[in-house]
Amino acid sequence: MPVTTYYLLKRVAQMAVALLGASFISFTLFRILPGDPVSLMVGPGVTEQYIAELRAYYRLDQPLVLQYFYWLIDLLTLNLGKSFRYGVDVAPLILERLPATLELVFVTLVIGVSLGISTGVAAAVKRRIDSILQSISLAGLAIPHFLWALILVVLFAAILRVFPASGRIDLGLEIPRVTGFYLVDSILAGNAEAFISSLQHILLPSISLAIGMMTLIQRTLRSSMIDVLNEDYIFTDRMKGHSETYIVFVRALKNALMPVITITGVQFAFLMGGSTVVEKIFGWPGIGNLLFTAVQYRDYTLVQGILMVYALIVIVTNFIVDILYTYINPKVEFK
Amino acid sequence: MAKLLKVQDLTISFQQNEVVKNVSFEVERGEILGLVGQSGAGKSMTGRAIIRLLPSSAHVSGRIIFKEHDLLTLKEKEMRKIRGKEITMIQQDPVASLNPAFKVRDQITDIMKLHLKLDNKEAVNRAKNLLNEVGIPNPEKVLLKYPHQLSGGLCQRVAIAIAFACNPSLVIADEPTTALDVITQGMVVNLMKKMQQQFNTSIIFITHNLALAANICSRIAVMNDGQLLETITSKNILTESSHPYTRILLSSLPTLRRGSENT
Amino acid sequence: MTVMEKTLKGSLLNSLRSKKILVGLVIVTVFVFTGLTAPYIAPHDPNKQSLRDANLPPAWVEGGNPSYLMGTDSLGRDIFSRLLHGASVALYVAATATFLTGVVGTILGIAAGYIRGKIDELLMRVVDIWMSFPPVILAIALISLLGTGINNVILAIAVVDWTRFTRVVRSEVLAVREKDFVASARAAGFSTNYIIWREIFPNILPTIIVLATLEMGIAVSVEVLLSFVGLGVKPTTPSWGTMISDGLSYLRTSPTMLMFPLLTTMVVVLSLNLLGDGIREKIDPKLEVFR
Repeated sequence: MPVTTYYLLKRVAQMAVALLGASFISFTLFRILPGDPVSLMVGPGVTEQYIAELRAYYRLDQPLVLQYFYWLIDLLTLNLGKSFRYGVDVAPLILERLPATLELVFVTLVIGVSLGISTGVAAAVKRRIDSILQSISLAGLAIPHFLWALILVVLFAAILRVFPASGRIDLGLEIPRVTGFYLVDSILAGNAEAFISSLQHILLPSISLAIGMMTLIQRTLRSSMIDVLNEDYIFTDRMKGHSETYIVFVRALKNALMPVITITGVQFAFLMGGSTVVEKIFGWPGIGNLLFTAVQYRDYTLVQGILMVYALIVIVTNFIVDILYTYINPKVEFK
Repeated sequence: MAKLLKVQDLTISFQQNEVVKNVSFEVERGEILGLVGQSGAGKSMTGRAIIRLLPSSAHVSGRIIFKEHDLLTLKEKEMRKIRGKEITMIQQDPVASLNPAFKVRDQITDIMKLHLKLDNKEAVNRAKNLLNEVGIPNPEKVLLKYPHQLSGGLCQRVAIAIAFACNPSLVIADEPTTALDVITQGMVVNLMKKMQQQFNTSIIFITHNLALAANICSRIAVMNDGQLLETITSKNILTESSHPYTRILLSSLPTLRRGSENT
Repeated sequence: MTVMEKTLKGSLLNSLRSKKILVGLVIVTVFVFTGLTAPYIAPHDPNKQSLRDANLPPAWVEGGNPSYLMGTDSLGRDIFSRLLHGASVALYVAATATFLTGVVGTILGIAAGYIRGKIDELLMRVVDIWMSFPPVILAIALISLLGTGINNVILAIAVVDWTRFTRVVRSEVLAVREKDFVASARAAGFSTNYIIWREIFPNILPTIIVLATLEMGIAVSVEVLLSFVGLGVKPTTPSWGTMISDGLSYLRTSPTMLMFPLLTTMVVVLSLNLLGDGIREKIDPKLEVFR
């Protein structure tokens, strides 16, 4: 067992610190405003009394430190406040939309990682593929997610009309909600039509997100693989008489994947950010889309809540990636 | 008895640059042949040519006849059957020659599973025995370790174990002691002598250290600048050798004598 | 000879041999030129609406009007003129945001990398936590607070991306400070200020240039992005982002409304990246700038 309990605890503690820091930033963002945040939230024609009540509700008249303290307690009890616009609690509101975002991100990861690794290995091993990929990979990296989303929409939804341009599933198709993940729920309900429809709808948004990640993985893996394949220990494996396929996919790949995992972890934050706009472009009902509505209506509690959720997802994923890395790389010391 | 290995007119070049020029020599069964020369003499290249693991940009001509087959004409698939089973190699840097992402156990058992078709249990057992043979005191513990957790000497023992695992006819040792300290060098040399006697393997011992070669090898082939200059028996190295280059090598060896003599 | 002198001496002409730099430079120059001269060369006022001339196709298509080269949008505004003015906006945002991020990033990066100690530790902690927030989302949150407008966009870009700049500068400084000439300068008793500005800075300058170029690409992307979602420039300012957003609604009927600004953005962002990447290859192929 390469991971000791002590190491795990240490990582969890670091995670907690990161979350604390994130909460602090989230907190200060909304209080460094010049002027009164509450009056920015409400429209005209509101009574003084109402404003006073709101201020009391948001504890704005209390000392800052106390405000932060209450904010933390709220966070820990998962009370993210009340949404101004929707009038309901923020936490369940976010929770309802969260699976859509998570499903999108998951499919993106699957596509991005699998295509990235396969093209990376191919580029390292076959020179012809390498030269083709070199020239187009810069485009993959330079062009941001939302531009790719638009390009794909133009190409496949407008011109070729192969894929739908928005939504999560065709109108009229209903599946009972078990997990909130349409792909899973449609399988559970045995509804093939719903599954295909969900797949069609999720493809364009996830591909637009996956392109950047795929390219980065491909580039990193390619260069890493080339280095590894020149190492003495691969020579030993060849000397043993192993087939080239075994050497590339078992012996070399494990070594070459180490920097890829690190990069993927870092990329994840960007992925989350990109998913927001992609959700808007594709009318995808996730928390990204919710964020835009919240911002539009100046629903600060909602914005704050969503911000924390994004930070949480990123921090937890980084934690998982770190643990994963220690499994792959035996040289990492655990003190 | 037919010779085990016959190298005839081996020439290796990289883009018009010849690094091995018309080299010919033979190796008998059960003998240790030394391949001696300075860096860049072409010894390593010759060794790698025999096992056919030269860089793809290398251009090779000549014949390498191993047990009646010319290795240079074999298909890659057939060559892979020979590598690891009939001919193996030991490299200079022991720690670098082992895969850092896999346990020692996986790196010894894989070669046996591949060529000897052993199952996991048998392979692990055999690996334990091999580690014992190469003088590793706690084989069970070492098998579970990763290369970076072991010393250079220990790694080289493992590499030797791997090289002898499938009872090959020929082991090519490419400067196996150069990266090690003097005491470990002696250990490795003794170990190789022992393994050779035990398994009756032929060894091509590549080194730049003439004294070391004289210690372990029955015959020594001297190379310089891609050419094989002469082959002499170690016993008569001082009397037999006629080539001026060999003489230079001999004279540059430090000797311990009372009342200083050479540099 | 410092890296900077070496770079300048040997490779000004050598740079032009790199296809990336060449292509990138050409397009970026066009971009900069257009951005600077837009008010003078645009045939129409980008905000002038003319419902009579709304939704016209490009001039070379049947039904087009030669005075509106690329056609008009739903409010009758000339797309070509809007495109040109959009370049000004993008250029202004890119230049200012990059300058801001560059200054902050360089100063903090040098502070962390050279002085090290508590400052370094604290700074890196802040950077790590800062980077837990997906950049786009942080920018959106910021804009929601500060309000829209071109200057807030610039601020948002700087606030969100300074971490990347700082990190890379810091690691470069770390590498340079170990070099012999720094050690000898220190032994000779030169002040920290002197060492930083005369020894370290010239050697990290090429990296800064690469970062700045890439940063401009990012800045343009973010500006277009924010304007696209309605959180960027004010509605009266023409921006490729708003043009794309408008064009999206008319995708089926007038695809050129979307495609012109989309393609322009793509080309400009790509070129900035090409240029930055090309320069990076010339100075140090192993340089990591994407972390």
